[in-house]
Amino acid sequence: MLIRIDEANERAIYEQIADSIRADIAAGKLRAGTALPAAKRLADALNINVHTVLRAYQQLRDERLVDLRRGRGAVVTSLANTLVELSGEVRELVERASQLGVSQVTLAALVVHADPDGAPPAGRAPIPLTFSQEQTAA
Amino acid sequence: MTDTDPVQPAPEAQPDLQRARVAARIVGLVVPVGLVIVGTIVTLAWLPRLPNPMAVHWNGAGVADGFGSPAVGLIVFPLAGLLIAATYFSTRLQYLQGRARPGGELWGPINRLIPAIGLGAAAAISSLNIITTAIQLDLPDARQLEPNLAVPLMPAIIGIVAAGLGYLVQPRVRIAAATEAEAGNPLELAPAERVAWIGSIGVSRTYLWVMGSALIVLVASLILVAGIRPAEPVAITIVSVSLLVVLALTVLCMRFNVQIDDRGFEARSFLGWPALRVPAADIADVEVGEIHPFAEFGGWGWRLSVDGKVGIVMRTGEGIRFSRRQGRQVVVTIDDAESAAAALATAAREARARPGEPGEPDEKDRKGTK
Repeated sequence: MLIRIDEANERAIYEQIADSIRADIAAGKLRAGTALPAAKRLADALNINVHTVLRAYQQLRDERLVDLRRGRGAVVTSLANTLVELSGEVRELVERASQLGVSQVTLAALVVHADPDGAPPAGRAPIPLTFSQEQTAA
Repeated sequence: MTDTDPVQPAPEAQPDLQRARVAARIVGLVVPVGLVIVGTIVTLAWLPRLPNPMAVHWNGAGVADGFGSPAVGLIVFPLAGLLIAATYFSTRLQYLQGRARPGGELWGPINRLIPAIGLGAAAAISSLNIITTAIQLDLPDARQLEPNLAVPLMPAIIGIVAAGLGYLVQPRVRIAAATEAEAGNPLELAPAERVAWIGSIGVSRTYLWVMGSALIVLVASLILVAGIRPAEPVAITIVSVSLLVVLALTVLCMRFNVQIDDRGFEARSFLGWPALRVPAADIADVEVGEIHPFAEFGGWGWRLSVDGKVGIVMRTGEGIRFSRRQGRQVVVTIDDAESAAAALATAAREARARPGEPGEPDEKDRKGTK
């Protein structure tokens, strides 16, 4: 699996690691049942703290993409297959949005605040999305 | 025997290869079979002059310790000789595989060595036959035989000499594999960006079958050899050592963990040893492509190819190749080879861009990982 981290990026390193792994899962390169490398190894390869890697793994566990078990390490769950299926639809959606002039950032915000029941997510008001001129021109 | 397919140039276009193949066949097949025929004729001619029972077994000091009918030698020696000659066909397996891939047949030192070893073994066996028969001619009773050091020593010397000659008489032909690969493209990195690729080299089912069969054959041979009376300590040792070697190779090569980062390439057996490390600064260029272990390396595992590449090749399929500034080209079969090649090409490029660090040593305390 390919991991890329950019220290200059404002996104936290652990999130970037999780992003890399998630991308590999969505691309079908990391299949269900595959063990992720030991956190120590990954930390050694990227020259970062082990806890950063562990935090990335925990993030993926919270998304139910990996199982963390004692002695077995982090193992990709069967949700990976679902992610592969979904990623095709996501690509189509992104393509359609860009044809309509909606940027990926906007689309992501829509996804974050989308609620199946139409009610706002608990504890926070939905942010009304307004499209500015430059976004629609993109 | 030499039918060609459209992929390969006709044999006339490769006169060197033709010569090499004919020489290998003569050394590895024709001469050993000839020795069997000659040995059988000589033994038959001498049969009336041999004592019965005659000595049919000697210990390492040249003392006769087993006796039997002269017919024993007439069966055992030709059989052993023909078995040795048959090993020649193991080299043809590679050829049959080789024709199935673009690039055709490879040729190199290994192709000369196997027939030469076969010739050496055949020469040793037939000289043992001739010597042990000759010293018993016209003996009234085989038990009067003096200890004779020529019995253990001469066949060994003749065998080694014959193997050496068999190697040297074959033409020095080298035909390297033509491989189709595309360059690995380095990733576009932001100034503070770091990349690592982590994966593993697993084995294919075919490899497990082959190794499993080899183990079963060796265990069966060990049981057979151990049952021979009088005991054959040399044979037992040879079979036991082979068994241990095959077992160790199978276990060690079950899985290699691969790590590609700014220090370069590292493939380590899951037991920690053996390991192959190439510092990033030593990497010249990286390619992605199809790898055919059997055609390129003559088998699976950690291997050295006929044309001088080193490979950890466990299955047919995608993998990476990279050449080094000093040393052999490396070939590794891995999944997601494109990403791995990109990461490695990136590491190589970054290492070149780093000022004043020629061939950074990989002693940066990589121990402690388990």
